[in-house]
Amino acid sequence: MVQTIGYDYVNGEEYEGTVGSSNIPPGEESLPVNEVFTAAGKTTQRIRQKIQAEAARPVVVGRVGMVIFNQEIAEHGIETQIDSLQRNPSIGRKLLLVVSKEKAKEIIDSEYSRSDSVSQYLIDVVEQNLKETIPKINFHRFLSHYYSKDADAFLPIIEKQGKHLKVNGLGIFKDDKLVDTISLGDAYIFKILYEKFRRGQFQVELGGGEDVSLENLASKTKISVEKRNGKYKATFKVKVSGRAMEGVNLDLTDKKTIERIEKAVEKEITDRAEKMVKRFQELDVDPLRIGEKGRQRADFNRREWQEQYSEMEINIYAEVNAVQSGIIE
Amino acid sequence: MFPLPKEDKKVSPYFVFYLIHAMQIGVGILGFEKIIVQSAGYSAWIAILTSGASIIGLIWVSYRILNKGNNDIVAIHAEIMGKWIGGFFSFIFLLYFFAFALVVLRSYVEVLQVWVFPEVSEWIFVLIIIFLSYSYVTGGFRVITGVSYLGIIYGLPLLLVNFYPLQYADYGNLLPILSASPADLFKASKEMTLNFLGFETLFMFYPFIKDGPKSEKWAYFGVLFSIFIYLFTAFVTFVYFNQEQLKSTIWATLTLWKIVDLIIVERFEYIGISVWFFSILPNICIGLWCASRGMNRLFPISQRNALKVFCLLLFIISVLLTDRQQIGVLQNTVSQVGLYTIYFYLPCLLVFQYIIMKVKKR
Repeated sequence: MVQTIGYDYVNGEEYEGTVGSSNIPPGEESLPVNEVFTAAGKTTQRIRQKIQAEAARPVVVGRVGMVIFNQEIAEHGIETQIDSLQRNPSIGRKLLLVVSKEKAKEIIDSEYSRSDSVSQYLIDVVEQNLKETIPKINFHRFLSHYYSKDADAFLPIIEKQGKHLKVNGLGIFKDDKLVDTISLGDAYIFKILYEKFRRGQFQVELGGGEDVSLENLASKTKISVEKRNGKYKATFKVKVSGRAMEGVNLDLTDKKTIERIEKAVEKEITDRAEKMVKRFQELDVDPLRIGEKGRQRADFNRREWQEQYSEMEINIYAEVNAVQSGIIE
Repeated sequence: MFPLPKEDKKVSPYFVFYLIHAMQIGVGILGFEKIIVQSAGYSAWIAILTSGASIIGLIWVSYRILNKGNNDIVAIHAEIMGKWIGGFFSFIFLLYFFAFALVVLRSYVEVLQVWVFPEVSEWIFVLIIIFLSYSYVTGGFRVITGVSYLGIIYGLPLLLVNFYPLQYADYGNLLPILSASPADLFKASKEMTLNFLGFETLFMFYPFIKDGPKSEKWAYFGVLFSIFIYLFTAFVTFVYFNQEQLKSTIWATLTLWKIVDLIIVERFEYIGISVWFFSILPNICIGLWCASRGMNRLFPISQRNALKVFCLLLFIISVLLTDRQQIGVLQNTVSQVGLYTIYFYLPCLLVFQYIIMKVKKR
């Protein structure tokens, strides 16, 4: 049973596929053993045959939980792989897709600090991050961005650090090619702009070396697109609320401090979001689905939109509502 | 010449609800979304309403014909067109009912093969399903009614599953509300009508309903319920899939189930497809029953023997159809025939019957 699949770049025609599965040997309290197979070929089918040739048991794609694309192959385009994945009826839609900085083979074929199976560990790490630090993206979401004529896809980026796996930001795609990566911090801003969520946290520096963090953050964003005299204009309205905690040298009971915190967080979010959106516009990618919002207008014209997108006006407004908290005054 | 069935073979009027509804919800629902969306985009839900409304109109037409003739289509044909011409048209109807069963059976087996058992050859499924249908159809009309009833009861819980994909819903997908031109909507309505086909079997089983005219309202309820089911399914798929993504998905409803994760099953489609068998079975049974009953009315052959012949034919043709293209051709032919039958032939028949009856009275 294959649990993870990895794709690495070989050359223009061929690519390398790696499958990882864990096998629990018979016997009480035996730990799962990892089995990894690698083969190169031009098509997934060819790779499968080669892998089957060296495996002792039938290689069945059943409960695949994660597919890893190495950064290089992602830059060259992953259309073939995506196509074969979505064609296969045994591939679920909750599957996680990620881009890795190292070779996918290296990620699958190594030891991690946790004792249970490698595949499960990889999946757990990414899933945890999807909840708290980066926007939720699985195979289904990826496909709906990928197919959309008015949006572009994105995937999480993972990196190996010693005996740990780390999620390290987002990779932005244009069609099937990776064109840009954004840091984990920006990925968080991306998440705020992209989806409604709860239980986040956010840190800012107030002037004068004071640090404060907002916990239990809940955020909600509304994107609206206007069209005036044939010109499109998009507005993000971000609403964030959270509890101020861990202020060093700060009097969190003071109303003024709270206001200062709110202002600082608002500024931080808008500044970083504006920068990020600008960069997307320069690259002419739209992972935030602004185009989809535009399409929802009855007077939408796709050609006009695509011509204007990289130069259109996009405003971001943030409204932060902080309450003081902690159990002491 | 065409005796009516005995009282103890009949079913109560409200069973028409199940019979009509079971015939309308078949394999079509597993993938109708793609077809209507290709024509009318995400405004296609309007097409479900318009074609559903037209079907309600046609049910009205059917009841006018049947109430007046007070017998099945074979008898009505013979009465207004004579033994030979009437018999010819009745024979075409029979072939259509048979082809309907064939399409449903073959399409379902295709789904089984692609999704669940890629390594098992189709004749095994075909044989099992035909054997099962044969044993039900020989049980008579009351048994078939029971099968339709159970088919609906078993199929209904699958609707609940649609709440899983709603977690990923993007309601903005439905906007703008009217993005298709009237021509596109008309095309989509036409395509949608194919999914409502099957109610024509009413023309065969009408005499088997106690107090036929009373069953009319149940027929309307059956259609309304079908409209609701299609509308709900379309709504869920539309908010779940991006439009372009949906256009490349053959079995949208099945693909929808891929997001369901229950602790014990990774691939919910397996359960969905198996349960769906209970919704497919009445289609095949009613189709076969109508065809064999018609044979019995037209020719001096017992219904059981006619059924045996049809089952054999069903088996041979199903096995001979091997690839997607052939199945597609079959589906298109049958649905085109069905479409013209209901929209042109039925109203013509009504008018014709009216005139002949007037003339005869004089």
